[in-house]
Amino acid sequence: MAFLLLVGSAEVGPAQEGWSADEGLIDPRGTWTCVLYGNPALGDERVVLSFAPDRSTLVAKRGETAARSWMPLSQWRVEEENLSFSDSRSGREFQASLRRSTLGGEWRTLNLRGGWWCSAATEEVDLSIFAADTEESSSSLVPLVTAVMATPAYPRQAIREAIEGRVVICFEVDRNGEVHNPEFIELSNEIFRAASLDALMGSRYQPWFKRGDEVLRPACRSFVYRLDYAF
Amino acid sequence: MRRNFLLGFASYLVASTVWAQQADNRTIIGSGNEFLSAGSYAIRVGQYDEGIRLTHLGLTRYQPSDSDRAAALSNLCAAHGAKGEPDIAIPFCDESLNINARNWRAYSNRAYAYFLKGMLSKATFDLDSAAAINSDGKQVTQLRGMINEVGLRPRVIMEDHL
Repeated sequence: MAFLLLVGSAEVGPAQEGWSADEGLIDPRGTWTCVLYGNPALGDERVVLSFAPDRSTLVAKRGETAARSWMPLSQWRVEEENLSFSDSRSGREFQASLRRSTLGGEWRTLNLRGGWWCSAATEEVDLSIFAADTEESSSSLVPLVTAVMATPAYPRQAIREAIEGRVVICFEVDRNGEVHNPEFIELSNEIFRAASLDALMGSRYQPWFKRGDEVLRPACRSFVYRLDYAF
Repeated sequence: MRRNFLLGFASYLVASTVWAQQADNRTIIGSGNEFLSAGSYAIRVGQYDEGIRLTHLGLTRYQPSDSDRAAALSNLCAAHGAKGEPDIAIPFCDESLNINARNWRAYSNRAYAYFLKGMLSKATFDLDSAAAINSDGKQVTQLRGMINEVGLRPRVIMEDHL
């Protein structure tokens, strides 16, 4: 418990190795609530990631009860504005550009590829995660529920040129269920950018006013554009 | 707006025919090419009926060469297509291609006629033939876009990762 509390209250500070975040780069040190997506066996995973100043990386599953425990990952490292770490248990290599509005990027294995997106965890979230299994703590992790999912209009020029594609946008949802800070993680063709963004910003989630919850919650949405022959 | 589109499209279809790029008249007097040239021009500017009449005159009263005849038949195909008469257009394109199977414009004109009839598979097949001969043809790209707009059903699959 003491170890968990120690990790839960980790503060951002100068790394022992002397790494410091340049201006405009995200400082990964601290605790983040994240969503991992793209694994066909596991679906969407909600986790908490902790990047300590001593370069150690820990992961814990969100939504668990008192049985939750931190699992160690590889040390995190930053090379040319890119954060990387790995999970030897799943074989996943994680990467993220620190130039984004928040922490997130992609993960790869030999055969699979997916993404991850995070929001900075507040102190309240940290404490609730490590608290004893109480009804209050488990109910504080209210799942995000889509209230309005706007459908993008397939760009006319894309139909004319028979262009198909895939777009993944990650973003954050505030307590009112509104979408903020969208960022394109995957964009197979520029022609789909505007339609996808318009649809996302026209979407809404159900509000989630709960004591102790974080201000912003991470989420991602994928759009797959397909054309079928009608003749 | 549809008329303007058809006018522009027809002008594409007959653009750069043998007679539009004016040949040396001293070598073609008596072969009917002046009628074929005039017919080509008339079709290009949207005077389809006049263009059809002049082209027929050039074909029936004179003895054009095989290449001129193939081009003229292709122009008739284009004109009737532009008038919305695909059933009349298609046989002219067929005859043109029987003379010159490398006439990409005839394939393109026949593709448009098939498109008007809603025969999108045949239209696509002819368009692919035209593109195989001349991949840079602007009207090929334009017609393919028209076919795709009608013949492709778009769908978007969305999934939230929360």
